[in-house]
Formats: sequence, C-alpha cells, structure tokens
Amino acid sequence: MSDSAKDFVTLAVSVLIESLPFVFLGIFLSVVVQVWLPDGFLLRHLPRRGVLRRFAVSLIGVLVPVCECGNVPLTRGLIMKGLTVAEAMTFLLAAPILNPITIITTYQAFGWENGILVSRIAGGFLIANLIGWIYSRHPRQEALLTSQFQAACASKGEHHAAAGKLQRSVRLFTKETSAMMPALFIGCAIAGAIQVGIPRDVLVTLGTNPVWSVLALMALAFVVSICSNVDAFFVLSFGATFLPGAIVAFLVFGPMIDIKMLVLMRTTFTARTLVQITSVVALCSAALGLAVNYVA
Amino acid sequence: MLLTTVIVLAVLAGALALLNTTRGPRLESAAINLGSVIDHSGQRLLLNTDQPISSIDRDQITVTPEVPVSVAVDGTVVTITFEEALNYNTDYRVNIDPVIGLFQGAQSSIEYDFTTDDVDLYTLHRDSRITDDGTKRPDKIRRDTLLGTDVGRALFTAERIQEFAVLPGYLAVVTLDQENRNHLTLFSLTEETELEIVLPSDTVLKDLQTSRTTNLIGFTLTSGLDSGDHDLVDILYTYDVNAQTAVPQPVFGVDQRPLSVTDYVFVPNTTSLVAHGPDQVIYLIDVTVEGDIVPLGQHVEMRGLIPGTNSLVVADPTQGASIDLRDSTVTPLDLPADDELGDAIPAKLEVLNREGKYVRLYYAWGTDGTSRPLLALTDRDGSSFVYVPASPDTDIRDFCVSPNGQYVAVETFPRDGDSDQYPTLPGSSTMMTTFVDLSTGVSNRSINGFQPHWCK
Repeated sequence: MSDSAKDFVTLAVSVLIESLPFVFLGIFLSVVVQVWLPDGFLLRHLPRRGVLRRFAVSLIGVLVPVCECGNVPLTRGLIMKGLTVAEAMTFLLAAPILNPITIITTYQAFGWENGILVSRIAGGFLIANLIGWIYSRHPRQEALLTSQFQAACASKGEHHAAAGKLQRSVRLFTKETSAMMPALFIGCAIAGAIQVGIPRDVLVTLGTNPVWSVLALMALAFVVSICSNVDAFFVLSFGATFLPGAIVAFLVFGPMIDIKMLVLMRTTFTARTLVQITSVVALCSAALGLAVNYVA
Repeated sequence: MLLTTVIVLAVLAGALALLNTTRGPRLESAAINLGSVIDHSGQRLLLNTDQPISSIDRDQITVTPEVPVSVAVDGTVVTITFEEALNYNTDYRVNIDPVIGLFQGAQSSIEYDFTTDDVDLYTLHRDSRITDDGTKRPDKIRRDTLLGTDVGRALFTAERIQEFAVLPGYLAVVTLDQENRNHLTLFSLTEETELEIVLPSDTVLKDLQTSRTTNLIGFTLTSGLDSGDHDLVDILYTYDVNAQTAVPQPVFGVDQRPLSVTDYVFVPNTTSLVAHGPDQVIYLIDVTVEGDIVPLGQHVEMRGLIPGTNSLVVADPTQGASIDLRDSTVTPLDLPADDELGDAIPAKLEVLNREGKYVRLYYAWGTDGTSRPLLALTDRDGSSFVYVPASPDTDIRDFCVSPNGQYVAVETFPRDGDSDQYPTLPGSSTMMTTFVDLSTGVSNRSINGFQPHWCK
C-alpha cells in the first residue's frame, strides 16, 4: 500500500472512530425522544414565542452533549416529535458548540485567551438563531426536507398502534442506523481523501495573513470534519501560526458545516437547503473571524 | 429574506476583510530570560508577531534605558540581541517603529516592556564574638538580594569560614578547624546536605573560585609548613561537582606536570579557565579535556575579564591588551589617563569595557599626612569619584565589579578594628560591603560582611 493510501485509510478511519460513539449516542437519544418522550412533552415545555423558543432550543445541547454528527439523528427525532424545521435547524447548528463538553475542552485548550472561547459560544448561538429566524419565515418548511424524510415523518403514526415501545425502539434504532451509517462512511472517506490531497503546508503558509488565515482554517475545518468535542485540541497546534480570528472561525464553522456533516444532513435536508445554510454559516463565520482578527 | 441576509453578510465580511488588510503586524508573544540577561551579554529577546514582517533596521529600534542591540527577522519572529548584560531590577521598554507586514505592507509599531530580575547576593559574615558559654559565635554565609526585593537569610554556618564560592545549586565553602587546617565542603542549596571533598593532608587552600554557570570549582593548594613536603606551591586544582568522586584533580601544564599559578579565572559559560603561571605565561585550559591547553603569550599582569564578555585584560610595562578567548585574538588596549587624580597612588584596577573604561582604587594623601582610599571611574572623558569612605578611619579592603558592570562592591573595614586572625584572607571585626551604582555614583545598599560572590 502506498504512503498516500495508508494516510487516506488512517485519516478516514480516525474520523470514523471519533464520530461513531457520538452517532450511536445521537441515535439512542433520538429513539428516546421519538418513542419514550410523551407526545407534546417537549412542545409544552418550550416557550411559545418563536424567537424565545429558538433561543431555548439552541440551548438543548447543554442537556445532550453529543457532537455534531450525533445531532443529525436527534434532529430528525425532534422534527418527528413536532418541532418545526427552523427550530430543529437551530438545535442542529447550536448544539455542537453550546454543550458542556465542547465548552470545557475549548476552555482547556485556550482559556480566556484572545476571546476565543467567548467568540465561539456567542458566535455559535447567534449564527444558529439567525438560520432559525431565516427559515422560520419560510412559508413551507417541510419543503426544506428530503422527500424520503417527509415520508418517514408522515408514516410515524402508523407504527404506534402496531408494536410496543421496546419493539418500536429497536426498529427505529435499526432504521436510523442504516440511514446514518452509509452517510457517515462516505463522509469520512471524503474527509480522508481531501486531507491527503491538500498539502497541510499550503494551509499553514496562509496562516499568518489576517484575511487568508480565516479562510484557510475554515477550509481546514470543512475538510478534516473533526468532532466539536475535540476540535479545540486539534486546532491548538495551529495556535502558534494562525491568528485568533482564524481559530474562532475554525471552531464556529467546523461544528456546523463540514464534509461529513453535509453528507449526514443530506439524509434529512434538500441539497438546495444545504447550499443556503452553508453559505450563511460560512459568511457569518468569516465575518466573525475577521472581526476577531481586527480587534484582538 | 435569505438573499438579503447573504448580501448583508457578504458586505460585512468584505468590509472586515478590507479593514484587516490595512492593519499592521501586532505583537503576539515575547520570550526573554530575565535572569540570564543580567548575567551575560549576547542574550536575546524574541518577539513573535501575528504576521510575517519585513526586515528591520537597527535604527527602527529604541531601547530605554539605552542598550546596544542587534536585530534579525525570520518570518514572524524578531530576535533582538543585547550586546551588553542588562541592569538589575530595571524596567526596560523596547519599541520597534515602524513594523511593516510582509504580505500587505501595512505599518504598525510594536512595544514590549519587561523588568529584569534583582540579583541574589552571597556574602560571608564572620563573627568574632564569644558567647556566654565561652564558645565563638559561628560564621555565616548569607543570601540577600542586591536591592532588597527579598528577605535574606543565612544559608550555611560553621565555626570559622575562610572563604566560599557559589555554583548552580551549591555553595563551596572553605572552613578552618581548631588546628587551622582547611576543609572544603560542598553544601547543596536545594537539599541542604553537605559533602566534604578530600584534600591532600596538611595543605593550605587559597583562591577558591567557580565558573558560576557550570559545576566546576577551582582552588590552589600549597604544602603546609609542617608537612615536610614542599612540592606543592600554588598548584591549581579543579573539582567537578557532577563527577562521581570526592577527590579534586590537579590541572596539568604543557609539560604534563601539575600547574603552579599566580592567578587564574574561569571563562564564563565554558569549562575553561585562564591561568597565569609563575613564568608569566598565560594559558587557556579546558579542564574537562585532557591536553586541551593553549598558551596565550607572556604578560606581566592578568587583570581579569571585561564584565559580560570573554575578553581577558592583560597588562605589560609598555602596553595593555585584551585577548578574545573565543579565538585568542589580541587587541591593544590603551587605558585613558587618570591625570585628574594628581599624585594619588594607584592600586587595583578593573576594566569595564573594550573602550578601556575602568574603575580603580587609589590612595590619596591628605593634608595631615595620612592616606585615604578612594575609587574612581575613568574613561576618555576624564575621571570621577565613585566611592570615598565617609570616615577617614575607614579603609577599602577590596572591590569588584558586578558581572553586568552595573555595580561595584566595595569592602570596607575600620582601620582601628581588630583582626580576626584567620591565617588566610583575614578580616576585621566589622567588615562592610557597599554597593555603588557606577553610572550614578549612588550607594544603593550597604550590608555587613564581605567577600561578595561577584568577586569569585
């Protein structure tokens, strides 16, 4: 096996191994929400007004600290349970950042240095709620979903009468796993292939330019597809080379959008929706990183 | 709605990108060893900028207080090398203006402040007083800070201490027993344990020195009057604290015989020493490498190293010179005349820099026919008094300049004081050491005791 092939396998498997526990945890929580949570429980306990409701939804990650790949099945479960698509998107984008594990690891890596931790938390919250606000004004939110997932949502009531909760849980777990796993494998393979293809030196060369450093680390975050729970330690090694704004952009953009996430999100959202989300999140992350670089 | 948001965000990001292209480099971090910059010249300050910068000329740098520096730039790292050792416990400000970003050409300035360390000072406190039970009070070696930024304390006590020297982590102490025999003890400053180094029997140890930065000590041994063996006359020995032996080794000359010396000094930051033989030949010897001995020529007097450098000052009847010990280059050194001091009798001299600035002890005759000691600083612009004892009854025993050349330590004693009767390096009942800032002539501190470790 050539060196490049070995690197590809190593990188792809490392992303897979890192993601797998969180994906299963997310599927498990999704099953809990869909099957075991009483109907209307979640909706009853959330604020009624749109903005406040999305604020609350974006903080649910504090209770379910899984990384972004685990949030995709959980988001599907929340939509099944009655959250609007806009609210579920707010959760999906905010939860990987606004959860205790991510906050603690970011603090351990950077402390209060250059406002990186504060910028990450505030940036994640604001961007997720901006996306939620934009899509809350969409007249037909179900059109943002894939037809397969729309069909799954429509058929959820049919299983209720036919089987017990445990049986439904097993069936749902199997179904979600079979939906997520191919996407996860493909996402990990693409992430590994691109990391082998793009020389890391190229990214590092750009690291000390206030503008290009932001774009370079966003590109790196997109490619490496690393879990939000550990990405702070990964990017810490770039801390000496890259400007703090670039680090912030990496830590905000990566958990929301990367190759692996896009492939996983494609199981739920249409391609057009993903392009729109990616554009807005990328512009917001870039603006945030550039602002930090200018101020810090 | 989505399109509007995207346009607003794109404009915002574009504006911020534009602002970033106009911002110059900033200081991200700095690294400096605040302890070593006061000990040696050639120490460095590393300034890390957040983006690569263009080369910097010397005239773009301002250091306050002024210190000669050189500068080099490598990517985002600016290396400023201080050509002289810095002052103790002093606030420094380094300013670079302008600093130009390599990619964007944007300008800014960088400023970095730091405060150098105060310096530890070790002195010997002899105590001749007798306690109520008839025993002599012990002598002490104390550690204080020069400017009193820390509370000092006694580190080592013994009934009679002849001399001492400081190594990294150790004190080397020469004590005297009841029969005036010398004992050499290594005292660990961290573990407070003692190890006695075995000396040849009935020998007199003198001129204990250390290399300060390595774990080598040096001293001379001379056979005692009672030994019957008079082969040992000022034979130079060294001892490596790291060596797994308690026996010191003689230093050998070019004839492969133990070297007799009239004077010697360790070369800072090396395992070498410079020895002056009775035949007036000076040798550069690496004591850790057998046979590594380089003759540096014949000179009447060896005046020590210029502070903060590896330049040895030598003197001959016709001319003085400095020898760069890195490459044995000899440079003539003409000392400025001290005409303004009239008929004062010159004594010990220490050269402060390569331009020949020096501090010297003089004895000036008073109108009453008695001599009074004084220290004077002389350079190309003339001479000025550095220290004159306040009392006419006070004499100067010795002086030495701090390793960074900032202070002179002056050991004084009352002329009518009682001698402590130590056979080697006798002192007076009340020895004092005063530390004078050579740039201002201000006496910053006086403490009891003598033999400040700078003089070793």
